[in-house]
Amino acid sequence: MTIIDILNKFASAGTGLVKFLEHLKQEAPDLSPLIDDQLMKLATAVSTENLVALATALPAELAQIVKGKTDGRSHPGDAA
Amino acid sequence: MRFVLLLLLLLLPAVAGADVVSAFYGGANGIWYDDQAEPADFEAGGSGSLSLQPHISLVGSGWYGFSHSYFRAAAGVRVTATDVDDSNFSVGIGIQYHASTEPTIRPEEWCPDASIGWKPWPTDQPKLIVIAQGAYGLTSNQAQAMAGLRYLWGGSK
Repeated sequence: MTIIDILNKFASAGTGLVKFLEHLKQEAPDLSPLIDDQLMKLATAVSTENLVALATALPAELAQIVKGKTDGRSHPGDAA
Repeated sequence: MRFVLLLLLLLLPAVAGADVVSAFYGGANGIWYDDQAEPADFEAGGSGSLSLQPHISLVGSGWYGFSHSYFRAAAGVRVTATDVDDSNFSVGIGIQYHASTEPTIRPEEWCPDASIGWKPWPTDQPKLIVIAQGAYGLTSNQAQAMAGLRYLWGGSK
């Protein structure tokens, strides 16, 4: 499963985003390398490795939160 | 509602902790419903997050929709599914409760969502983030997609 597949579960958001970035590339060719890099990331699978790590980590992290222990990170996705 | 209260009670000790990473953003969105080609509305407002653990964050936001003149807010939990140490790109999966001044346009309901955040220029413009989000209303069965920009106003760390 790719990131685009995940987003497409909701209103074809993944396909829409790809179309938007392709359009942006046409309008601003200078941004092409940057957008190509992003399109490649979007096509990258949310790896099985990461998903297994996530499933393993969540119960332990929830337990830490209940104990009042925190260890936050900066996630650009949290800005949405 | 009970779930939210329980969650808040569980999270209170954590919010008081020292290693919470908070962030506050201003921004704008285009929003689409159910595969429409044109955006249904353009919104401006702000969002915020509290990262409690490497994968777990509390998120919230408030927006004004210009075309249909509504205020809406959403708050919930997000789990980061990609590398938690990559501060330039991440994908999160979560659930938020959406509330609105115009429930006929923006129903009040729980919405699972998937979100992307990307810093296109992490060196030159480290505060600028491109976001995209897809969500699905559990009561209305309405899907929605959102794309926009965020600018980091403040926060910790």
